Parts: sequence; C-alpha cells; structure tokens
Amino acid sequence: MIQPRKKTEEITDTGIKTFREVQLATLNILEDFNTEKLRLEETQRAMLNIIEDVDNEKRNLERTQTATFNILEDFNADRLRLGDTQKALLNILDDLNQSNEELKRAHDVLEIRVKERTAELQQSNTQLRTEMEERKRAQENLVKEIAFSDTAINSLPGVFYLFKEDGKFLRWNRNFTEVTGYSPEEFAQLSPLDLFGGDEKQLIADRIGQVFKTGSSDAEASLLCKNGKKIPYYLTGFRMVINNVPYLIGAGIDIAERKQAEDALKRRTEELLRSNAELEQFAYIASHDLQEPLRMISSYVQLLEKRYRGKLDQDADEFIGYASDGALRMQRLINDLLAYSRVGTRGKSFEEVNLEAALGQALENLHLAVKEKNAIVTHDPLPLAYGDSGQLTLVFQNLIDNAIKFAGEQPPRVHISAKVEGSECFCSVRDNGIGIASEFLNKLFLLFQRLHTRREYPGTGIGLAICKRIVERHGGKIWVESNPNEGSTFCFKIPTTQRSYYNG
Amino acid sequence: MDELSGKVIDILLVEDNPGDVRLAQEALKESKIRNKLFIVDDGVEAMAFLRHQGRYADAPRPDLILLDLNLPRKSGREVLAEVKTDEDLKRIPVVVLTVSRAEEDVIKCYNHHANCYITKPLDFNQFMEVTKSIEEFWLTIVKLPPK
Repeated sequence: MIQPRKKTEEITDTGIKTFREVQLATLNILEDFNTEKLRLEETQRAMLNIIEDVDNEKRNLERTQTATFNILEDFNADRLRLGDTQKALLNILDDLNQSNEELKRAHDVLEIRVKERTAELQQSNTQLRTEMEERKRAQENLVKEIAFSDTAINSLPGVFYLFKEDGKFLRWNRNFTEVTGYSPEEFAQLSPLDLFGGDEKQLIADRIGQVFKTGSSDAEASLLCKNGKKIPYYLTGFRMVINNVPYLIGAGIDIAERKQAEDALKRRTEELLRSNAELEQFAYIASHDLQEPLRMISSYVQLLEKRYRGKLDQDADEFIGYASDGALRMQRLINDLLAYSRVGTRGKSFEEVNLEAALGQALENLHLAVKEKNAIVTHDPLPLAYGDSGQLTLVFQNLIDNAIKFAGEQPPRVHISAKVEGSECFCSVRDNGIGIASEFLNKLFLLFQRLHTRREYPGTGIGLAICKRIVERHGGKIWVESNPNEGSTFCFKIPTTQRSYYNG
Repeated sequence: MDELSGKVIDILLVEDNPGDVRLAQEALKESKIRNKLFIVDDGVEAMAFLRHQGRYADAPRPDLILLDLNLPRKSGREVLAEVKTDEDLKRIPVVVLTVSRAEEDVIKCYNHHANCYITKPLDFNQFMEVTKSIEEFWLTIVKLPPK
C-alpha cells in the first residue's frame, strides 16, 4: 500500500488544480450566465413574441382546425356517401358477377348448340351431295325418258296431240299427219278446230273448254282430212299445267270399225225389237182370233149337248163328247202357246229376286192342288238370285205342280232346296213320285211332249217347255235326275249376279 | 124387286157375232125377269138406236146395255165414250162383255166409266153362269136409274 498515498497527493494536487480551473470556469460560466441571462431575457422577449405568434398561430390553427373539422365533416359525409356508392358499386359488381356467370353458362350452351348445328350442317351437306348425285342421275334418266317417250308417242297406233287453249298444235305424232294427209309444215299451221267439219266444231270446242276447266274430257267426232274424207275418231284430252301454263294433251283412236259394229248392232237390235213386237202381236192376234171360232165350236157343241141330251142316240152323245173335248183342249193349247211365247216377249227386266218369296207365291197359286192331293211341300232356306221374279215363280209352280200330279199311290212329298256356288244358284225340286225312265229324260223338255195318256195324267205337256225357256232366258240350265218309281229331282241353275248373265 | 115385277126390262145388246148373239139370247131366255132384247151389230147402229134416229125413232130407251168391244164401223170403246159423255145417256148402265182379257182394254173401259167389265168365258156353261149373274145383279139387286 505504498501506492495510495502517492495517489492521494496526486489527487490533491490535481484537486486544487481542478478547483482553480473550476473556479475559473465558474467565473467564466457566471459571465456566460449573465450573458446568457441577457440573452435569455432577449430570448424570453423573443419567446413572448413567439408565444404571441404562437397564440396567433394557435388561433389560426384553431380556425384552421374548425375549418378542418368542417372539411372533415364534409369528408365524413362524403365518406358515407362514398360508402353507399361503394355498396352500390359492390352490388353492381355482384350483379356483374352474376351476369358474368350467366353469360358464361350461356356461352357454354351456345358452344354445345354450335357443335350440334355444325353436325347437322355436315349431315345436310352430305345429304345435299347425295341429292346432287341423284339429281344428276335423274337428269340422265330424263334424257333417256324423253328419247323413250318420243319413240313411244310415235309408235302409238292412234294420234297424239298437245296444244294450248286457243292455240295451234304444239306437238303431235307421225300418225296424226299421216292419217289427216297434211305435211308436217302444213300441220304446224293448223289449230284443233281446223280438223273438224262445221257441225262438229262446236262440240269439239265445248269439249276442249271442258278439259281446261275440269281437267279431262273426251269426244267422238269425225276427223276432217286434207282430202275432205271424214274418219270417226274417239279423242281424249287431259289438262297439264307446266310453268303455270295449261296445255291439253291427249290421244285418239280410229273408231270407224267400232262405229260400224255399233251401227250394225243398233240395226240388229231394232230389227229384233220389231220382230219381237211383231211376234207378240202375232201371238196375241193368233190366240185372240183363234179363241173366237173356238168359243163358237165349244159353246154350241155344249148347247147341243144340253139341248139334245138323250134326245139323239148314243152315238150322237159320243160324237158330241169328242167334239166338246177337242174344243176344250184346243183352247188350252192356245193358252199354253201364248204363255210359252210370252216368256220372251213379256219377260221383265232382271233384278234381285228373293227365291223364297217366289216359291211362296208359287205355293199360294197351287194351294188348292196341294190341299186336294194332301201334298207335303218342304224347303230349305233359299238364297237371293238375279232375274225375273214372276217367271221364276212360274218355274217353281210348274215343277211343283208336276211333282204333285205325277205322285203315284202315296201322298206327294216335295222338297225344294238351293245352294249358291260362286256366281251360280243351283235349285232343285225333289219328289217321291213315279219317276221317269232314262230313255225319256231328253224328251221331257220338248214342247207338248207327253209321256202318258191324258187319261192317266192330264196336261198339255207344256209346263216343262216353259220352265226350260224361262231358265234359258236367265242364262241357265235345267235338267232332271230320275229313276222309275224312285221319284225325280228337277234341277236348274241360274246366275246370281248381273255380270255373269246376258239378258236375252 | 117389287117395283120391277110385271115390268119388262129393255136390254140393248151391241154384238156383231151372230153366234154370240144367239148364245146371249139362249142364256137370257132362262131369265127370271121378263126382258126384251134389242140387238144391233155395230157401233153406228148402236148410237142411232140410243138417239132414236132413222128406223130407231120409236126405239125404247134401254135399261141396260151389253156392249162388245170389237165392232165394225165404230168400236165398242167409241160407243162407250160417247154414251158416257152424253148428258142424256150417261146414266144407262153399260156392261162391257168382250173376249179381250187385255189389261189395257180393262183400264181404258173403266177410264171411260164403264159400269163393269166382263170377259166372255170360253166355256159355254160358264157363259150361262155369267149371263145369269149379270141379269141377277143388274136387274134384281141393283137399283137402276129412272128412265
């Protein structure tokens, strides 16, 4: 510890140095302080000025602050408004977003549609191409068709023509020029009415008008050739519209032969009708005028018989008997002949006939005979037929009358049946009578043929002949199947429809 | 009828066939009613008789006319038409007695107001029956118009 003492001396020396320095410094500092104090008073005065200024400034600042507050208020208001605007903007943004979404979706849909449409268009395109190929093929066919129809038209056996209303011939075939005798150049100058004579021009004009009005028509008229010859033709016309212009197109055939045949037929028919009328008149007169003298014979022979019965001898009675009987038979024959001839001349025109009704009428007419002989008549249901119902009634009547008459020992049993096969009606009348031997079967239907004496069975023998005539008038056939003592079946067939029969 | 007993009925027969005339006479002979038969043989004579012309000036007015249709000169149809349109004659009953069965004849006669139409039967016995019937009906049952 030698060190500390030195140190303390050093410290005190230093201390006294320092104190002096400090004192000096303090004096300096006091000087500075006085200066500073003066300066401080200046500064204080300046400070007061500054404080005044600051006060002023503070007041200014307060004013500014108020203004700023006002501005701030405005800013707030604006800020609020801005807030609203912002909200609105946000809403709009939202809407925009939504629209955007929708737009996006629509865009997607559109894309799909576009894809579909494109596919369709592609298909159409393919189809179009196919059609165009077909069109090309059709065009080629058309050329072939035209060549074909040209050849066809010229190969027609008749005439062919095409023209406009009130116009000249536009197209025709070779036949037309050949038949009428005009050259093609001459023909091109002709109109349809030029080919007809004065009396037929109106008819043709009318028919042409009909074609253009209703679409089609036809006519029979005579074509007037260049050399004046007239040929009867059957002409047709059809209306065809091309590009809004109507044309008449048609063909015609030569009917000269047909006309001749028709005329011949007409003449034949007139002759036949006249002949028929004459026959009818002849038959009527014959029967009428024959009846007169017959009545005289008959009546006076009977008067003789009455007046002189028993007054003359037995021979006289016998002679009178034969004369009387003869007259009576003659009357019946005349009536029968008249009935036979009237099958043709008094036949009615044909129509649908209810065979059941016809049979019913026949049975009614025969009801006395049926009752007298205790006949039993049965029948199956009968179909409809086509013919003259009165005459068919007579057929049934005569056949059933015969069946009853030729019955033999037992009471007559008659059965009528019928069936339709295709367009024919087969009827049959079956009896249980005496039958017919085979060698007589073909004589049966002849006029006035009888197989028995009058004593055995009465009758003139005309019933079956009348049946045959009636059935044949209907275009049918009649025949018999029979064996002696085994009854007979009379059959006849007649057509059931108009088509399968010829009215004779 | 009592009114007619004792009375004679005048019948005009218009018939050209002598055979038929005789037959009618024979048949009417057997009649229960007294009758006088007047006979003319064609239509012209028939009208003359009915109109009391010429030799028929004193002819009586018939109570009944039996008329055949087929007559010479003027047919029975014409006679019928004339009688039935004559004011004076139309009430006289006309029985058409003829051979014709033709429907046209029947219709025409009735159209001309024939009182009835009878077809002469072919059998004499039937003819007798018919004549008897005519006579019974027209002369006994029916009330004839006053002359």
